[in-house]
Amino acid sequence: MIPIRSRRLLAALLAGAGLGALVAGAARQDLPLSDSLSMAARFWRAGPRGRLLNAPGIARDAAFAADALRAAATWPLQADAVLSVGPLVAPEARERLRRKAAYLLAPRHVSIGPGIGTEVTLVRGPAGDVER
Amino acid sequence: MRRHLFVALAAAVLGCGFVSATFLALRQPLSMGDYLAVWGLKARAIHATGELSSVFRVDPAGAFSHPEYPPLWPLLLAGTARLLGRYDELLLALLRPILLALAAGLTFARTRAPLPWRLLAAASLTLLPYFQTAAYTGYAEALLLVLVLAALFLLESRSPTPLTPVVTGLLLAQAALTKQEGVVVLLVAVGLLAAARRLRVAAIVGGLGLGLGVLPWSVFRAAHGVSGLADFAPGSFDPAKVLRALSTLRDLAFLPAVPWLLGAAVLLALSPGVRRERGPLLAGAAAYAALLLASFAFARVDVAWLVTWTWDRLALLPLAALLPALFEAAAEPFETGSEPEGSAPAAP
Repeated sequence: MIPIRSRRLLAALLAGAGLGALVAGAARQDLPLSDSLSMAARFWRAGPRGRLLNAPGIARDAAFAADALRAAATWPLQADAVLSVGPLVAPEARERLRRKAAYLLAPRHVSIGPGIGTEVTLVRGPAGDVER
Repeated sequence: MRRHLFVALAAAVLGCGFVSATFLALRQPLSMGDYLAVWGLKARAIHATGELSSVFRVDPAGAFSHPEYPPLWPLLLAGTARLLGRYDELLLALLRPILLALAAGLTFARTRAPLPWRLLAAASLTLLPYFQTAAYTGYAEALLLVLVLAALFLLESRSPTPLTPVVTGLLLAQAALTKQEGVVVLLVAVGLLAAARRLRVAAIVGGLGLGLGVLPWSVFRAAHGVSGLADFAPGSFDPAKVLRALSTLRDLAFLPAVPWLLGAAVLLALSPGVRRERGPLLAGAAAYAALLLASFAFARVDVAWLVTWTWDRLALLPLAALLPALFEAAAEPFETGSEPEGSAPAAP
């Protein structure tokens, strides 16, 4: 039988330690607060296009994303897309660009086509040209 | 005076957790990881076409977008974008604090303890790493969590109405339409209700969950020829995969998890009233974890890869579900006073 005072002390210690660890984890941020605040301010001031092109998951390939956005605005929804990628483009980069293109061109299907060297080009494919 | 201070402190922790999680979510537009490759991709396709079947067109071979994943979160994103008038990844991030507020409110409501402990339970939910990182904003687990916590709130109700099982079934149907883990929650809930001889409630919850959640999406997928693209398949069964999943989990999370597991075990060991009251919840969390682990035996992809990239998100649901029990356990010694050991915590 553990005395009630000891139980209370143990419960308080455990709850406090758990919450303390959670607070400490939350306090460890990926960016300094000032950088976070200016980042938030920039995004909330920007227009929809600027927000998207500078979003963390997109910004690394902003020029490519801008091309994809232009294509998304002009191509009919029925048309699919072919991403021509040269053999010198790393497989991880090819997959990253394919996913970004798919996101920006949705609902179009983006398939990978052969390219030359370090070529990365988006071209309009025939409508309904989907691989299953 | 001390009680007022405790309440103020707990409310401050809750406020800090919520503000911090909200700031991280709203600091930048949705664009990371599975949001881009899975959830947002499908949401943009639905938004552009108004057709659910467009989620299959974007990636018909299932190379990266998991066409088999249920569609409720992309539908919610697309529907919200329609209401907003455009698909804006920054404005859609506002869904995260709304869902977090609901999840925290449900945690507060589910905790049967005095006010400061209920506030601390809600605070701890907002402080979970899932909500304190920008990377997971735009993922589907927050919606799944709200639906499951709402269903648990109803299942745990001490004064259920005739509508309670119906609403619970509808909530779990939506959970099944949000993520595949929702189906596991549904199975566990129905199993525990049946074991408790609440057969009528089990039949209503199970019937609605399966009939309005699992079945429609399975039929829709089959009608579009994507039923064979799941990450899991009966033909891939290999019991050794469970051991590989456990081994990967040990390497990834065992050491950091030990203090948490020990602390939770000690808290519950010292609180016989909560153990008795919360027996079904503890059993449900254990069954859920066991079923998830067992499901890895059917994985079609590399189990170590699957566990590495999903374990922290898979842990969110049982962890959040157990928070009320843990804070009730912490509160119990303060409520028992000079009463005999084993008495239940006082009602809020």
